[in-house]
Amino acid sequence: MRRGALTVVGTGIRIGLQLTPESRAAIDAADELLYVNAEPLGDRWLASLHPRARSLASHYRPGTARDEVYESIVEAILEPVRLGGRVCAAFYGHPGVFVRPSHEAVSRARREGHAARMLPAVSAEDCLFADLGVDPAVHGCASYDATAFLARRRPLDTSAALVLWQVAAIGEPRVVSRGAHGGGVDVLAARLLEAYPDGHEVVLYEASPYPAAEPDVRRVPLGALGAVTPSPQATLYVPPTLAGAAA
Amino acid sequence: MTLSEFLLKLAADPQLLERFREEPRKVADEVGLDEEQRRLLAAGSLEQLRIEIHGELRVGEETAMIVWLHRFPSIPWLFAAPDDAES
Repeated sequence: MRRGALTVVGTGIRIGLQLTPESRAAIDAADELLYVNAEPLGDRWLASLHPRARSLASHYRPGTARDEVYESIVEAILEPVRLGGRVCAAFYGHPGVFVRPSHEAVSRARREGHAARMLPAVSAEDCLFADLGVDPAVHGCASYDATAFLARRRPLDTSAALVLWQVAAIGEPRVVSRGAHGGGVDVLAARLLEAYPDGHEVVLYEASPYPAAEPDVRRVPLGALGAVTPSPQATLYVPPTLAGAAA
Repeated sequence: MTLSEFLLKLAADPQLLERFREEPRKVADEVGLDEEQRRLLAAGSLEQLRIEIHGELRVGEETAMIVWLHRFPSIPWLFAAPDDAES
């Protein structure tokens, strides 16, 4: 078996502008660039970065279980590595944040004797801190997947900030589903209302993937959250309560 | 120039992006953006902009669903017994 090399990078959120020089060098040095992106415009940009760039989007078949999709992505990444290639796999945002195939590909490549590494990048949460002016060091900050937060009934600490990811996909086990999204937000709101007052302002946030475009920031009182349909990629930011933060 | 072409141009040229932030009208004139494109960039919501760009790129509904849903992590344990949830 020839020893291959895998580098997993993140493209950041804002197309073209948040790719680190370190990640760009890894792309340039690779024999092949495989990528998964959340925006078709980002696909165009990524395809322009390397003469042998290939999207892995075709692995997302509607109705397919995520486990199955992720396994096929991991294998698609490792196939050229096993042939001795230098492969760069690029994921949207930070490649290690809310991206399971990236971790699995690195882990499996190492177990098989190949060189493998992951480079850090700009995540949606990084953009949230910048766009909303939040410093997690001030009051602390807990961060959960919204479904995991509900299913595991994580404890609420109103003195710290709370970031809940993927609030538009609560309880959604399929990789691609048709129709309405945003179900379960009422359940999430009810859980939060156990600890926060209904007038507490929360923020539905989506970082802008487009240069020159502003992020989507929707401020709503918690009591009204259950009636809101979040955008598909929204993150919920719950600031600490003043009383809790002062305690 | 289409909006998607313009945004890709900005993505490839951070200095042009800075100039666009400082002198949006001048840069828009230079690249030939029309009034609707300028309005979308200046005041349009992210969702409006996304719809416009997906239209330009001829992204079908299914592809659009894939691109925004693909990142969601596997959460099969939601429907599993509590003991399986931490696996």
